[in-house]
Amino acid sequence: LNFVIAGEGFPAAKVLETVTAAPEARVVGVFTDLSQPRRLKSLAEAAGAGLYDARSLATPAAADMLARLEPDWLLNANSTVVIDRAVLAVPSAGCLNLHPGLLPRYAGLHTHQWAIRNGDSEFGATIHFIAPELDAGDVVSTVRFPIKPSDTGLSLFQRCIDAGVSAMSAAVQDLLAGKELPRTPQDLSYRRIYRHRDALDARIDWTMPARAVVDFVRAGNYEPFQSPSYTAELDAPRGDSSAPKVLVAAAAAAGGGGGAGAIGEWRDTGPAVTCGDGTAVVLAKIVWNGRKMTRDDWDSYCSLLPARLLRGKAERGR
Amino acid sequence: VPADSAQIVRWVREFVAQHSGKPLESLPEYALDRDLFEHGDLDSFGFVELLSVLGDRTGRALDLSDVDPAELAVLGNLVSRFSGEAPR
Repeated sequence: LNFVIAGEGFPAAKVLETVTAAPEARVVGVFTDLSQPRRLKSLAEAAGAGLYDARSLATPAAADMLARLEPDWLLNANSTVVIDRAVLAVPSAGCLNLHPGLLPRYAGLHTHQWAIRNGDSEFGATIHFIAPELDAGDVVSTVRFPIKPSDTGLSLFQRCIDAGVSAMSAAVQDLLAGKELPRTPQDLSYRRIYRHRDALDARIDWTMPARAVVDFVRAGNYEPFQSPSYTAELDAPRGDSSAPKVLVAAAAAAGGGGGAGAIGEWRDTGPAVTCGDGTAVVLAKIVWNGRKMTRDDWDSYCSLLPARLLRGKAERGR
Repeated sequence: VPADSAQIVRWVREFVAQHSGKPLESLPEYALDRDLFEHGDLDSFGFVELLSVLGDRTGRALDLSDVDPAELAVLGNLVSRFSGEAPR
């Protein structure tokens, strides 16, 4: 069997390793971001596979070039390129995608962060045939796992990728064993597509219940790395364009005072802020101007606000 | 056989070389107090990939929801997690 592998980083590298470990399989091409010096490129070169620009897969012109490689399967892992339908028609057996999310409810990007924000208790990864419509193809397999209260955007991303890579490797093993892959059509009435731009607003909506505020904050937490979408922010103070970023928030045992966004007293780890359901969250790990806020920093910050009130998403003019 | 600290440091250094596209010999020797993130050795994808590679090789899976990832920036902390040895 001839395989073409498309994707980036660890997921694509792992799929490549799975395929190259089988004597009856041959990797005839790897499509990736050629500008990035990644392990995948070294592995591809070691396997004797040609390297190609992944972006070309979005164009019909790539179909002719792909046809010359005579692939049976195209395996896509962790690539955001939407593959052109003419390209999808080339592999004789089909094209598979590793989607780090549950389908059909979580199509698109940053879906693990949305699952936390939506208050879900479980998440997962899906292996599916690639259809011309984004993340809409027949499902081969789904792996599910619980979302823990301690999960952040980063930790859930890790679990999604690990589970997805294992599922893709299992599908490849089945292909190599000559098994026919299951194909379950998605019920597209449940389909929801999350776009990158939908996930960029970092302002906290203080009218949400405390639980939802906590989830919003932890979903955006990729510490110590930069989140691919947002990190929760407090209001930018007067005369200072830098908005403090919040990495951790916990629902407080005691309720808050005042309305949504009212700033309460400083507790053990940070300030309390009242949420829309009348209960408070206690913020922790607030980073402002490049360093973690102390209580004195917080007092300075509050003195720059028009009132002891965080307007968050209700703030106008930002 | 559990991997020892020196072996894990070698794996980390080899991984960073591959991930960054730099020749292994161009990297400095890694001390256990090296901050992998501060030096720009890894991004989030590289970090997750490194955890998987070390998990595969040592048989010790590490779930980021159980630890503070920022602590793992220090090589010695990362090594102790995968070697089972106490942090130095």
